[in-house]
Amino acid sequence: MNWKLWVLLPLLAIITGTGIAAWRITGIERSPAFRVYGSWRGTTNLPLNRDDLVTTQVTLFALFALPSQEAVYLFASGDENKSRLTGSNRYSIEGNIHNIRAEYWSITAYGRDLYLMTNPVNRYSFNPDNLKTDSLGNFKITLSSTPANGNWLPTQKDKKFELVLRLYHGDEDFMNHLDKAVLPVIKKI
Amino acid sequence: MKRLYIPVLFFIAIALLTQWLVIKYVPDMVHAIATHRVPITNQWINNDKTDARMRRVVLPNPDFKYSALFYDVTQHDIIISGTLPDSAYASIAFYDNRCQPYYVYNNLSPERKGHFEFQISKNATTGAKQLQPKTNTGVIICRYLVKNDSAFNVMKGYQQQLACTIK
Repeated sequence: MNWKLWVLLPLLAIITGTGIAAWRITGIERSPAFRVYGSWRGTTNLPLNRDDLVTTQVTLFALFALPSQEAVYLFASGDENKSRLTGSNRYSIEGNIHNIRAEYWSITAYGRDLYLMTNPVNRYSFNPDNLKTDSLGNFKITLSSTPANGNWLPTQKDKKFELVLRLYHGDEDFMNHLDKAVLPVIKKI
Repeated sequence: MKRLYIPVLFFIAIALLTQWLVIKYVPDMVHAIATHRVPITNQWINNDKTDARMRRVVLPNPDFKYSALFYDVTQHDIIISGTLPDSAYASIAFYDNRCQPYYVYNNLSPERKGHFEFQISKNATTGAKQLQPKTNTGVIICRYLVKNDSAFNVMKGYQQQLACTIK
């Protein structure tokens, strides 16, 4: 009995420890390191190499990300009502380009596997250079699995997807007060 | 009850240690796997178009053209050189053997547009701008923003200027 216990116990402990690690690593939404900014979630100060858990999360889910001084990555997996983004629905992303004060920024759609999604028009993202806006800078991006007029960002039918808002070299004041910034809003149509 | 005390403590200690080790060393493992998959060191790999076919790295930015170099300065120093454009954002980022960035050089200030040269060295010497990495191996990633289709070939030209010289 005794020897079996001392063989099984470490094995069970290793399995349990690995399971807890996996649960913590995949639980980005539970991580206090990431804040909510309207429809988006992320941080303006990634504690890479300072926080082991965040460092591992970034390595697995955003490998070779740039440090926060260079780029800030904000993620969205739900709409403004926190309902999961899925290709079975249509969504709009509404905002104003003048409200996003960064050297360069973009909104990109990814599949659940965090890779770009195959689509017939090879459109994966919008940025200030390819976004159609009105004279005031307002824009509306339509996310759908079927073609849409204007800024159409294709999704895949019935498949869940993620959005990433990248901000490269944001204006200092804008980044310091990102919680008060008017960022693009994701709405279910 | 007393008999259970030691096994339970032992179980908790092993589980906690395992959890800590997994979280701590996943980045090292990811780098080891990436290095194993790309066995070419000290040589630039220029990616063509960033689209749905690109499956090397998660969350690729489709607005960028990427170049990557897995470096190893165990035996020799290397000199990385190239040109950053003045028309659109570009950067060169240096990562250690845990896939974490330790230096980023971009073209946002006027003096940084044009030619650049970095010597990656275990020991400080003179010459090109020195970078002393914490580890002998790592990854360098060059990002070129492609604003539109006509810029694609221009950025490809910059990509082809990237060089790695073994010293």
